[in-house]
Amino acid sequence: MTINGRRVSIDADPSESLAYVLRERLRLTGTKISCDVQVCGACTVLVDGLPVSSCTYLAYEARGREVLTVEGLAHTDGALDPLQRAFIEDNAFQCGYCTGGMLLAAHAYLADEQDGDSGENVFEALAGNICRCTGYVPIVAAVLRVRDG
Amino acid sequence: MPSYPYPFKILQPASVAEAAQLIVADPDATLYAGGTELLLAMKQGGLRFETLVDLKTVPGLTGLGVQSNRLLIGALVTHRAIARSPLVRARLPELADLESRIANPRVRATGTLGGNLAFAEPHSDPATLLMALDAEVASAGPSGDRVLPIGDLIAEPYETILERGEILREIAIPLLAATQRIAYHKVQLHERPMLGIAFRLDLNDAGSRVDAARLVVGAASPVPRRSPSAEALLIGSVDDLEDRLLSAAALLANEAELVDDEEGSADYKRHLIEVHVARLGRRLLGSEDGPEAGAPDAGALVRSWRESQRHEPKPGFRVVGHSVPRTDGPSKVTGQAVYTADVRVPGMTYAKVLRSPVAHARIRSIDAAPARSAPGVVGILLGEHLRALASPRYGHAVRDHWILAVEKVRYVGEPVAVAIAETEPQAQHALELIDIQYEELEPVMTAETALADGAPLIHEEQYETGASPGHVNLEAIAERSNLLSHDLLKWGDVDSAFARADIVVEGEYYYPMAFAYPLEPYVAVADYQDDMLTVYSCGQHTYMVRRDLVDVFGLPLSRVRVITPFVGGGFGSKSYTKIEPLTAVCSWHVRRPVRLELTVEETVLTTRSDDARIQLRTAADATGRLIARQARCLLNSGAYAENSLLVSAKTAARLVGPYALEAVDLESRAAYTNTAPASSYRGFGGFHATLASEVQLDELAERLGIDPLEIRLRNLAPPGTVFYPGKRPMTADAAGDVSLVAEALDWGTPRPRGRGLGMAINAIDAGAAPVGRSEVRVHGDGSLTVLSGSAELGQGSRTVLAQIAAEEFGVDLARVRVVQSDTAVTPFARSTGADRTTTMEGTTVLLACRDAKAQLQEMAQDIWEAPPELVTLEPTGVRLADTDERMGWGDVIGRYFRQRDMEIIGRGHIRPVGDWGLLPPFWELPLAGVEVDADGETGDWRLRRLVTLGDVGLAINPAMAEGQDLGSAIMGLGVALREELIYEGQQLLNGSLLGYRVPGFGDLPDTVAGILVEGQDGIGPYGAKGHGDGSLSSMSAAVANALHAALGVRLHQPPFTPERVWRALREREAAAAATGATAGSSGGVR
Repeated sequence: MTINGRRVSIDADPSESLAYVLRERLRLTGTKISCDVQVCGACTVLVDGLPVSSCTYLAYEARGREVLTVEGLAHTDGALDPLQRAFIEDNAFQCGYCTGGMLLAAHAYLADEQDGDSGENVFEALAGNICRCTGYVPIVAAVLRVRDG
Repeated sequence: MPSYPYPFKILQPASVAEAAQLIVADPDATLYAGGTELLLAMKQGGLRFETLVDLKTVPGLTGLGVQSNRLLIGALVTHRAIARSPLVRARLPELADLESRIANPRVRATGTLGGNLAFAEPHSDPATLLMALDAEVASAGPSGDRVLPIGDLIAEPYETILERGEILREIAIPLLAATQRIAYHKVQLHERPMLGIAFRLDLNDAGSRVDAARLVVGAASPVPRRSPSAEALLIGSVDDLEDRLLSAAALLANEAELVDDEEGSADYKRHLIEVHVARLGRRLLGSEDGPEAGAPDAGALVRSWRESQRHEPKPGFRVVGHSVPRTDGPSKVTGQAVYTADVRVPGMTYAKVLRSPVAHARIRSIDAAPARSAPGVVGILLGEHLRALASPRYGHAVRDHWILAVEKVRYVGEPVAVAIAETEPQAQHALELIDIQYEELEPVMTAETALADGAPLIHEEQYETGASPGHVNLEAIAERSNLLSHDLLKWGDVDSAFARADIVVEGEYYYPMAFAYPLEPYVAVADYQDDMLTVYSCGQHTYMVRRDLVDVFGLPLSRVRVITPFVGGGFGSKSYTKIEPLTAVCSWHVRRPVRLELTVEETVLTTRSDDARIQLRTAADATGRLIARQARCLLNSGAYAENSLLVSAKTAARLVGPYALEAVDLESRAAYTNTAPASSYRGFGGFHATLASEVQLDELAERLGIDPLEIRLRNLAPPGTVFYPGKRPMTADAAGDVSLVAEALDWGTPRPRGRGLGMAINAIDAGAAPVGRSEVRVHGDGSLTVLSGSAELGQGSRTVLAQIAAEEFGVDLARVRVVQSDTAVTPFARSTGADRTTTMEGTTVLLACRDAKAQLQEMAQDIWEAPPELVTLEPTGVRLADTDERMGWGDVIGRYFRQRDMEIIGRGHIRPVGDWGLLPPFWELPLAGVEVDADGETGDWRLRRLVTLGDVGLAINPAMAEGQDLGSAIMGLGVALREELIYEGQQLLNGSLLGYRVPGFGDLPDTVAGILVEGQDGIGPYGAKGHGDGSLSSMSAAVANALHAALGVRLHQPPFTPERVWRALREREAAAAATGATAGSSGGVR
């Protein structure tokens, strides 16, 4: 599979979740495990641009596909993505445990918006991601800051 | 666990026929489509398969098209693809709409319609709508192909009539004619729908008559149910259709086999069916709009937030008072920030915990021999191993918490054995090989039964007090009862005050058990070697964890090192010691580093919040002036003391409120029970007490005909007055604060029907103990390292402490590094909680900076050989008076020591003497105001507006300060809305995120406003006062008061679920009817 633009070859057991492969085999620990039941969204990564719960989603499913994790959001020269900058500017995180997944959910939403009508508003697009610290409004503010330029 | 508990293989058939063969040939195989239901059930242990047959490799199952006026959807088309298909949106928008609301975007991206139907999870949407559309499914199997009406497919919950090897291929949905109309409505409380209703009307060409109808209910019944009799009733003229809707709804409800479950009672579901069938019917007839015409306006919400964030920095400050970006921002948005869960140590092993399945029992035997020889197992830790420790128990207040159950278990979920293995799945596997025999004892599940005469004893032993005994009442424990603590707060003559009162209001209020849900579950890594222990902890109180570990192992303080990396949320639930002793003892047992990470389910079983039943009476005079209060509080504190003694004491103390009462008699008791241990939760005692205190105040106001705002203004203690004998006078302008919130809510202006305003306030003795120290190293280049024992939980202490140091030394924030919470490196910090860090640790950093600057000043005198009065401090260095000679901080160090990169260290501390000796260091005023919008038929409600206020003295970082208040308020909203841990018998019913739903984006109000009040009147740096826990404490009371304003019902027990609001409405109607009837009949007698 391709992870954050780099092709990697992994000999994983079919029963390994994508999060396990990312965190334990590749040491990409920006992907967090929290609820472990596909509810909280902390483990959200994008596979071919679509958000999945990597806690449950099998690494098997990502074979031959492109996986984007929070570690791959910044540009190759190290510059932060506008969404990452907006998260900092708007204090869209506190403890940071949901942030990787939240950024990727927002990234998918913004990509959909660019492609045209996704049929989802920003609340619906992010509804599957839980944050316990911020009260969400700063996250919406950051996402709209990028969406509306 | 990040991977699956046992290995399985995946087969990739090339055709439906091959898939069928594979399934038929292997009894341990199952079909695998999107996997969102199947994998979850496998991970949770509900289902076990050795082989998954992956249908995604079978071609021809992902088609989506229209043929013969039927929409054909391949079984493997995802919910997302259906929701976004232009074809579906154009031809069957109701289905696209339903699919766009299934679960969450991730489930929609992966889960398939066929998988959903084949799994037959009852709390689901699609089948209900599809039945109303007369959809059919096509399948292929060993007995050939067939086509089934969707209603025949689902046999019972999680069961279809498909035979083994029969594969669902396609869903065929007849498209609607212009005269056919359909609508679907779902009601959802937790993660899955509690009720779905699909309603279809087929009209004649003229639109005057219903020729046919479909009425289907799902999620509330075991399987989706059509009601032919209700449908028959609907046939006929549309003119009087509205009159027939209610009867049809009743028939539908009768035939649905509605179930009572944690989502709601059958009663309420029946009522919802009646309401929503009528609404859907009117919608289909065009006489009523759909719900929420138009999406919520995210732009307006964000504008309101930005508006309230406009902030004029205080003059004279360069860094402090400015909303500088968080210094941990870059690491947190790139995934580089390291939390305990990310720590790996060479040679590390993994632990998994075997937990008690029974609430109260003696352990008769444990057979762990087979587990010891299981693959990868390094060791099995049992209670018997604890004998070699200095203490087998820990606890900062009462040392009653067994690291592992010994002889007895006291709640379902208590750790009984631990498997330590090379991998986590190996440890998990080993647990299955441990056999434990229990002799069950009578369990004690509620505080009331725990304190009843003859109740079984939960703890028979005599325990010692811990290192921070606080409110321990050893007498109570010595009495051999289940009474954990008993506090009585009294002043004045309560009897005479109540006798004198013009009015007395009383009531019982109940705040439920809750789960703080920090996203990072409990996790620890421990390494015990050469009688030295290193522990990575996610705890808030790094140094208290160290104390407990020192006591467990009998080691000196210097030999126990506790490191707290970034914490993934605490909210009080990570106060004190949790799994660190267990992890450390595992490492001590196997002499290898050990990592233990709990699941969220295990985290709930480790710490929840105390519930509290509060009977409160308030006495006032006719003008609404409060005179006295009397209360009896009872808390269910679970199997171990933890911090519940303090929770109980604070529940009583915080019933005083910010009011000057002549007399109080406030009693609180906490009871041991056979439930999960309760402990701190953000602002404990505050939220328990504020519910009772502030709802009752509104009730008093109503009885007296005084506006709720006015009654507060009449009673709030003015700044500087002693309102709580023996404590610091009021440190804020509470009346001014309340007025600001009222103004922001347009208090007093009339509201539309169903809307109401509410507010609540309290005064909380925050800050905990005023003691601590910090160090600041000034380096040879003038840059700074701040050393603080406090932890970064997300609250922003790392940024705020850096701002203080940068301000003091006139340097850029980029030249300051804050090192925190490592007992081998950083100075002692008592704890990170009670909103104390900015005020107390901030003060010690400020003092350390000033100490360092004084040293630099002396060093400059030496360098310049000048008398003290001629060397003055400037913002960025020192100056020789009357000259242009200046030195920066680094120059002073370099010239003094004649050594590049030398450094000095400044120290600062506070201790509880002088001004710091008067408690509390500051009063924190939890204050929130809300506007709710309530549905008088269903009881459903949502927030329209939220106003928080932080009376912070001075905001070191205003944006972060407001973020604390907002986050706290939304967390508090969760309990007002739906959060509540429920015990059924011995078991916690909803200890997972599937049944315990915290607030999400969908719960946000239309607008938010955060107000900061900065009187520079605090005891902390530059006049700062702590805050952040606050607004949570006020939310339940504010919402209850607003619901009364909106609907006229009083609710005393959050969560204020729609069902509870509806019940209150119904009771009020019944009471009104009864009064009306009585009045009528007595009138007759006259």
